[in-house]
Amino acid sequence: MDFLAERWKGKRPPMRGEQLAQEELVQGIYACVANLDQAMDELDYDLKPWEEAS
Amino acid sequence: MAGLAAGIRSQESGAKTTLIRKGQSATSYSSGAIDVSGYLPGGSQQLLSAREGIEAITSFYPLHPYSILGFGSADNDDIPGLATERVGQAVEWLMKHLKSTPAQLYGGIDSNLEGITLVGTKKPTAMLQQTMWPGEFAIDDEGVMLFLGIKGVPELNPKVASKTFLESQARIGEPPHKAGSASLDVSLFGHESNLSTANLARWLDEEENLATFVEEVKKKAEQFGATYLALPPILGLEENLRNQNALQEATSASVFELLSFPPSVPGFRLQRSLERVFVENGGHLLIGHQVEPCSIESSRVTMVSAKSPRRMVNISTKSVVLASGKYIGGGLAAALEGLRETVFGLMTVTSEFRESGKTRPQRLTNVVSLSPDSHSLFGCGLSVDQFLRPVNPDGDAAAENLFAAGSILAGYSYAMEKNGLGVALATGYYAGETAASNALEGGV
Repeated sequence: MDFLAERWKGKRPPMRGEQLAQEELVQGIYACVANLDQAMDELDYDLKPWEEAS
Repeated sequence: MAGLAAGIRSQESGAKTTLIRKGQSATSYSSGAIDVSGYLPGGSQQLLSAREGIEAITSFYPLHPYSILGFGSADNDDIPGLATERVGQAVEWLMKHLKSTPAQLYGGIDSNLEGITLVGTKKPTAMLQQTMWPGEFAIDDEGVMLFLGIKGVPELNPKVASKTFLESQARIGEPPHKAGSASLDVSLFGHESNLSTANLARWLDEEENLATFVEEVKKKAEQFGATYLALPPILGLEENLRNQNALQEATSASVFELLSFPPSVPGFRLQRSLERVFVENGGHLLIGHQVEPCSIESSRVTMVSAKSPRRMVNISTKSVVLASGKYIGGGLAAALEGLRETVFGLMTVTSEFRESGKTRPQRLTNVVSLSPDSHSLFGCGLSVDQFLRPVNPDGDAAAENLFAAGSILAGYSYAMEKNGLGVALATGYYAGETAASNALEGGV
């Protein structure tokens, strides 16, 4: 999850074109199949400082 | 899924149907489980059944694809009832068609099942393929779950999966209370690195390889006293049911495949089975052809052109179902200036149903990468009327014989809601039926 958060920080601003298909796949893998979007508490994931500001 | 469901249904309804596809569809990338409704949008409470989810969604989210299926005629005042009936009909129809195929399904919309994934987490899903159904482990106090990896198959780390699974079960206080992990060394092809699940599945389809594999699995199962045996998805592309039976007989355990990431054998199995049903019903499958941008003239689509490296095909059409998917399928494309639909240039909207043609993709994302709030970007797509016809900014159908189905529809995020193949199936089924009746009778 830490890795995904760090990567997302860099990928988000220039997002366009083929990157969207890649990102849909990433969401499909981690959220849709692995259900990790619902497992934040189980994984004891702490929001990063820049995520807390949102 | 949406394209194949629409194609099969349209062919069954009596219309001559051609299905054009460039490459592998997103179904072959899927885990092979049919999610219909696992969570409400933005929610974190797991739904007990897809029926419960559809009823809630259609009551609170009037532009969700499931709600659109419930609109029906102008005098219908029971949107949840009609939507549930239509989704249930599509699900039963799919189960019937896949009954004698390798992708035979278990489940339904009356109770969500818990599928176990390669990382040891669980997810709610309406239907699992027969070889992915783990059994009633959550009520078996004496159960022992064994995650059995295979050396050289990078998808499954059995130790991590078993730890995550056991911790999760302990947290909710449900059995099994014992889980273990082990690895098999099949030394396939003379080496034990970078083995793909697809190659192992093909290897197990050959009957002569089964006995050795069963013997190795049996030794591990006995060593751990396993009553549930979780394998990566390798049980076969064609003979998975036979292989599962052989393993269950030898080990006396419930043997099943874990939900996996792409490339996924169960996803591929599902797509191949659906293609077979489509062709057996007389459908014409045109693989390796990319649809060229088409125009709408006098509110009708009369011709669709598809290009392959060697030829161009022009097809005269009476009805068209657009099931080109979202970003993976190439149905939507995005530049820094905004989103566009790639075939007909139709209006695209965000998940809040605001026009997204001039919205920078980044503005449709949240700061947090993974969360139950998802990203509006993945809920973008086409806005449609009650017959699933894409609409113009003024709210009228862009073309009277153009229908849309699957993930190109706006208003839902399948990754978060766990309803990807469910929406694709139900909208595809309904779009195929409506498109066929439009082609045969000249109106919706």
